[in-house]
Amino acid sequence: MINFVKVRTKAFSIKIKFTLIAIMISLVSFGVAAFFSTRWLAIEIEGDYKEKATLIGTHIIHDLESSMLSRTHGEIFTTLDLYKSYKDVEEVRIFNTRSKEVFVEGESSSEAGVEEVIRTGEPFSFYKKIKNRKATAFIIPIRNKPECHGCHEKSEPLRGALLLSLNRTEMERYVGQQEQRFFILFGLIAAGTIFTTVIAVKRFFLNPLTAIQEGAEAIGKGDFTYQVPVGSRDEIGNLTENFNRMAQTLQNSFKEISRSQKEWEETFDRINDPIVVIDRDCNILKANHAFKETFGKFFSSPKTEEINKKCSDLFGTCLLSDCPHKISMQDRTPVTREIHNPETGKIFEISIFPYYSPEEAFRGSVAVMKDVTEKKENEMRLMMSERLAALGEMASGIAHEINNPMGTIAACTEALLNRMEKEKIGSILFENYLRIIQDEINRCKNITNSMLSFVKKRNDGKQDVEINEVVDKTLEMVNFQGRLKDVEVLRHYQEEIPVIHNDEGDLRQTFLSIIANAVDAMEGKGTLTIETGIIPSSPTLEDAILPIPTLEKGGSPHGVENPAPQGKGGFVFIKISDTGPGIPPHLINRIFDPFFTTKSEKGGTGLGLSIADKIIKENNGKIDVISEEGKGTTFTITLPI
Amino acid sequence: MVKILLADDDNNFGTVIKNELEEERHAVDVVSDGVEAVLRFINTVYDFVLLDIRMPRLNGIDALRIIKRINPEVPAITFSGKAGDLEMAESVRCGAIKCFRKPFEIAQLKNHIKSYALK
Repeated sequence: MINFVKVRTKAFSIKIKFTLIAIMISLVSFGVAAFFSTRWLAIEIEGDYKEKATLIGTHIIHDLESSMLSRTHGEIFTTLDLYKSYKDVEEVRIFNTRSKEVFVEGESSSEAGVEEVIRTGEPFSFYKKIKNRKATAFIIPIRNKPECHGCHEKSEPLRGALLLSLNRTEMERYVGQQEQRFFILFGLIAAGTIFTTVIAVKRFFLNPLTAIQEGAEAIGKGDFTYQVPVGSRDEIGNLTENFNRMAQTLQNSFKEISRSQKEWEETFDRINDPIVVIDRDCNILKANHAFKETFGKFFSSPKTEEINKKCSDLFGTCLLSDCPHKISMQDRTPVTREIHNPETGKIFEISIFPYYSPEEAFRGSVAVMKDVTEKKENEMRLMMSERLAALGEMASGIAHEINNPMGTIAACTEALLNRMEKEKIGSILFENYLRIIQDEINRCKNITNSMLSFVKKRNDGKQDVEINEVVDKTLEMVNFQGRLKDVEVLRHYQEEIPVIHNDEGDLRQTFLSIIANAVDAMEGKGTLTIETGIIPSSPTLEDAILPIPTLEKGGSPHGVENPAPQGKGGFVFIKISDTGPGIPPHLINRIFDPFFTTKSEKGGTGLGLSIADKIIKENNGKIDVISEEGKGTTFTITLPI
Repeated sequence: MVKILLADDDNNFGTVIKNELEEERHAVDVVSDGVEAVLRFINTVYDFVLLDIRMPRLNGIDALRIIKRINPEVPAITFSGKAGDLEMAESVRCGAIKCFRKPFEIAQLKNHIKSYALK
């Protein structure tokens, strides 16, 4: 299973973040708006207030002027009282050009600012507190109009100033009220904005995103079929669609991978040869169906996927120094071996293929086992039938061979009986003939002994054998077959040749095949040369100097050289040369092939050389051939000591 | 009395046959290979020739051929222990009266020679 990394949900979610941001922005902007709105309102109202003061002031001055012009100064007090009783009017005071208050009963007090106004002729206003009430005092200059010139000096610009104080409390209360209203209104609007914004964002953004996130989680858990519902046709909708498509692609990929894996597993299981994958420590990582079937009883439950056995539990090879797995890991090359499985009694040819990661690290080995039990049995049978065929040939030869001694014995006995009948028997002759009979009987004995000793089963056991003897025995056998009658046999044996540990029957069979081939090639006439010798020890055979028979100049010798075997104690060689027509170059590579024969009409099986080759290879030796057309052929057998 | 040339590489056999034929008052010369047989035949007149087929140097059939060239009339009998049927038939085709396979009865051989001598 693929492990996906789980995405942690942030504690401080987008929703909360966004809400806080929305709140902050709303509050700031609406706050600022409220603030400025109220400010401007205040300024407006202040303006109105001022206008109001100016208006009232103007009326007062007007009335004042009227009264002055009609010389009814007494009215002025009434006028002033009237205006004083206006709502919000705190003070109405008149000041003359000397900044002294006039038209007032009792004490007249001065007022700061009046002088300034008299002097500059510009109105002026300021705050003052009257009886603990907030008020604004407006000082308005009274202009010296032409109508006033009757009583007042023409040159003066002003007649005086009017001080009008208006209560601010009401106004300020109003402003405060308006300010409050504004803030509440804006507050509500802000809240409403926040609310709707949050809802809209939630609906259009957060929900789809959450849906996608849920989809991602579901996929992370392995559910590739999850499809996120597409809510809108905008960018988010696009994203959702793409996300779904991506999930689909993922699912398809996953299916593809699953399918490939299944295919591989099916292929793996369909191969008839048992295959296992093993790791460095010989643990079985994977086994195919054929393997489980063959070695099923070693697994407690053949159905389980888990196989916790080592290959050493099945084969004892780990204990051997030439365990193929060890060697293949060491040499980093494939290794093939034959292994015998005692429980099933079968023989397997096990091939181990190590494989490596791209960084050249050993990853494991694939071990393929071929049941070669039948093949081996067939080989044995072939070998036996070849032997039998050779034996058959031999038998007929020997049968004929025995005819000769029998002929002599028959002649003797017939003669003796005859003479006894005719009573013409001398004791010397009698003795002679009996001795001849004995002689011939011994010959028969030798023949039958040789024949019997040649018929040995394979693997009768390895013994210490002396090559020269074995060659001689084989030559004897060929001679019995009558095949050497016109053949000159030259033997150059190494004296004191060391003994080697081999199966004599196998060696005889090998020599027989080669010698018989040589004799057949020469068609019974020619020279057969057999040479035996020693090659001193060397790490590999190639390092040693292998004496090659010198062929006459002008020829082009060619041959088959087999790969060198290992031999630490040196080697013995046996060279068998004939003076036959040689082996043509296009056939020489095939002579060791099973069933390859040029003598099929004469009943050749084509097995002799291939079996000989096999025998020698199994004994860690090799057979080489050199042949020159028209000159002859030499077989060289090399065996380790 | 027949002058017989006997060629066989088996010495014991040669000895016995020679003795027995001489018992019949024939004169027998024994040689042990085909070359000797031909050489003797060239130098001496023989009335009968007995040839073993399988012999070293020159086998009985080839020797017979040569002998028949020298004297086509001379009667010959071949025999063998090791030869196959083909060779035995071949020897007859080359002019042998008969080819015996060993072991055979000497009496039969004697009869053949006797019946020739009567001719």
